[in-house]
Amino acid sequence: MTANPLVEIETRDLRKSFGELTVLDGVDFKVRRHQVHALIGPSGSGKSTFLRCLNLLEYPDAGEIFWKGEPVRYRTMRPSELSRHRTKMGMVFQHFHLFPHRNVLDNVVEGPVQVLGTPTRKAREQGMALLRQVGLEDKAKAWPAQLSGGQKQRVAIARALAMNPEVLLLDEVTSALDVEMISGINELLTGLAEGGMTMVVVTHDLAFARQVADCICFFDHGRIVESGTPERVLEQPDSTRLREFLSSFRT
Amino acid sequence: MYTYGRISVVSFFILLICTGFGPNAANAETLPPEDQPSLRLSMSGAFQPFSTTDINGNLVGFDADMARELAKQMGYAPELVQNDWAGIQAGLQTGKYDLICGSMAITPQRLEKMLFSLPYYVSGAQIFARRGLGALRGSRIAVTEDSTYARYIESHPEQFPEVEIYTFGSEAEIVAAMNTDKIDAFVSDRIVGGFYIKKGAAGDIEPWGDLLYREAVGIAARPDSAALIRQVNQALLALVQNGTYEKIYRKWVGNAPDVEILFAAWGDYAQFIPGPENSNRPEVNERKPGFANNLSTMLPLLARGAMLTLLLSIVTAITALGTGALIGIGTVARHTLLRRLSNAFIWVVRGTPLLVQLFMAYFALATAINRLLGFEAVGAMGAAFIALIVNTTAYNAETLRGGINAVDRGQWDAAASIGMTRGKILRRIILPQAFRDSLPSLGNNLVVLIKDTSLVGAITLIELTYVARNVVFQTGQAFLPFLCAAGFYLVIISLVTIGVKSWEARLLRSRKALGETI
Ligand SMILES: Nc1ncnc2c1ncn2[C@@H]1O[C@H](COP(=O)(O)OP(=O)(O)OP(=O)(O)O)[C@@H](O)[C@H]1O
Ligand SMILES: [Mg+2]
Repeated sequence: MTANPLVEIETRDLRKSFGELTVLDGVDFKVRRHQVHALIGPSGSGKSTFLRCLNLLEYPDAGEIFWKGEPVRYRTMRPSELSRHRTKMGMVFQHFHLFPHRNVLDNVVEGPVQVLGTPTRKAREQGMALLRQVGLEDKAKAWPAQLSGGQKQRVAIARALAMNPEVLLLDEVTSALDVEMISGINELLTGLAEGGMTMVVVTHDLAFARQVADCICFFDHGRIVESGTPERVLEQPDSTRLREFLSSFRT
Repeated sequence: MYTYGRISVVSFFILLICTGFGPNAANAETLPPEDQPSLRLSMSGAFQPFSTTDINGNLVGFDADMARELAKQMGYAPELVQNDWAGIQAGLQTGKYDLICGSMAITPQRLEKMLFSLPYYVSGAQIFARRGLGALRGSRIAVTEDSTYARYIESHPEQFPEVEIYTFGSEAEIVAAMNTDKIDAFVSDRIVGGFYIKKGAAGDIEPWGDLLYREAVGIAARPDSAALIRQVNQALLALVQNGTYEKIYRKWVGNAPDVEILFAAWGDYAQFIPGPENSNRPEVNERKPGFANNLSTMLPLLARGAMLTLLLSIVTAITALGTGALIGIGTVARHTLLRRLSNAFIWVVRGTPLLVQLFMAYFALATAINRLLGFEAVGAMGAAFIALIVNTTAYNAETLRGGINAVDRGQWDAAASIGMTRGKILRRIILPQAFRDSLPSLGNNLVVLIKDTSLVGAITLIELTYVARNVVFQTGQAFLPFLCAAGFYLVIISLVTIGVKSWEARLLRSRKALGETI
């Protein structure tokens, strides 16, 4: 195929099952540069699994993945290639997954030093700059256990950003947070989006999706049933499944 | 059971074992080489007055003196080896020592596996009971494991109606049991029992009934040591002739030996005894050694045992932490064979008792290694280290395996998502957390290890528990030595526990309560 410079990642007919359970049932998807893609859909529809297939935390059973038009040969990849593929996209998880035995700054610095080979000193300077960006400069020496949920998620975002990723994958990053923490994280993400960061955001927060996303995809039973601009998808849904899904939010 | 009633029977056995016996029959084929002039003789050290240990931990007693004099008479430097009775034959067969000079009665079963010298004393089996015990019926009787007495009781149930039999690993526990009213009577050698009575070592006891049977006691050797046995016989004749034998006998048993009975036991071979010879009579130390019977003499002995316990514990603990980590990581290795081997190792070692592992390391592995290398590369100490390290490694590995699996899967995801490779994730993210969370259990393994070192007494290592048992045996006091030993263990384990706890506290600092300043 001819590389479209505006497409970072593309999947074609991506399939994945866990035993009998089909979780991804042929997903075609394009991640466009500088755009924010929101994935919505009922629980168990395969959103997280799809996200994890993009950076190969999960291996698809079938289908193709392209990075900037180049096929990703995930079946025959060597560990070093796998590592390089993953560093191109940062991932933030619902439950943060900070390294509990490392302080905040060391959590952020681990990737650059260990994977990219950045000199420790430089990595720390960059790490401090990132912590400043997420508003946690004063917590650099704190342990993860001493932080609130919102603070932990900021550290996790800083940790992902420290790898200088081209795409950010976010899986329900505000779902485990108290209400008063959510808007802060959403503001942070909005800021990143405005800065031109390419993002794939799995979320149940439709207001946030509408505000930040350039494109919303509706997942159901392992397929993308509908996709388009937020206005189109949220206000003029075509399928009954999407209408049902949206109506469940209004009550 | 061989009962010494008929001289002809004895003669038959002696004929069986001493073919080629004669003054000039010495034969060099299986003798130790010239440059190794020491002769290793073993005894249990738990059979007063025949063998026991003195205040300095040296072997003393009738057997010990006889062993020394016999070796000297044969032209060797004596080297006495203390070994638990239960494992004493295995030690001989695997070459840990050359002879058993430890009051072993000559029996047909034993003759199938070993050579015996001429009897060096004749005694018999006797029941000793608490004074005033009427009938045996319904009483509790103790006996040493793997002894002729145990087999006698087994084969004569009619003489022990409704009797509860207690089997102990050595005579030491029997004395302790008698002193603590755990038993009413026991079967032992008549001379040994007489000694207990004289010293009051086993409480207020008396012989009960007649002698059960007589037995002739000889010095045992491996089947390939015919020449050595002939030398022993010659030396024994010489010691009897020059009066050394009688001196030693009087010193330990208290009366003159009945030489008539001894000679009768020698049967037809009495005629080979050479004429009197008064050339160089060896000096026998007539002074009896002192025994540890109070706290001040007991403590240094126990402290020495505690040092060995500590040494075994520390070296094993440090080594097994590293090897345990390796095997623990092996269980989560990507390499299938490595994973299988690690799991199999853990399964086998955790599924077998440490005592069995000790015996295997000592009697099988060490012997094989030494044979292969042609010299004594792995002794009892080496075998003990091997068994303890292997054992503790398996438990540490299993603990760590659990710790690794208990680390949240999200940690793998998070580390992988920033591009860390599997090895790095394990080393930098998973293992530190697994280790931190496993430390209390690893500390527990360490405490178990320290207590388990008490088993190495079974392979002749004189550690804390073994010393305590010996002291109990020498003094007849069951309480104080064990109390002291318990105190030593408590101190060692407390120190270790404090160490582990402070390490734990350091590793857990990342878990400190919210808001605490670092
Ligand atoms: N490792 C796994 N093994 C077996 N089943 C799995 C595994 N991971 C996910 N599943 C199953 O796959 C299905 C899809 O899961 P997934 O997490 O992708 O859904 P989701 O759309 O993210 O749902 P949610 O909104 O609840 O997060 C679920 O039924 C889940 O139980
Ligand atoms: Mg999900």
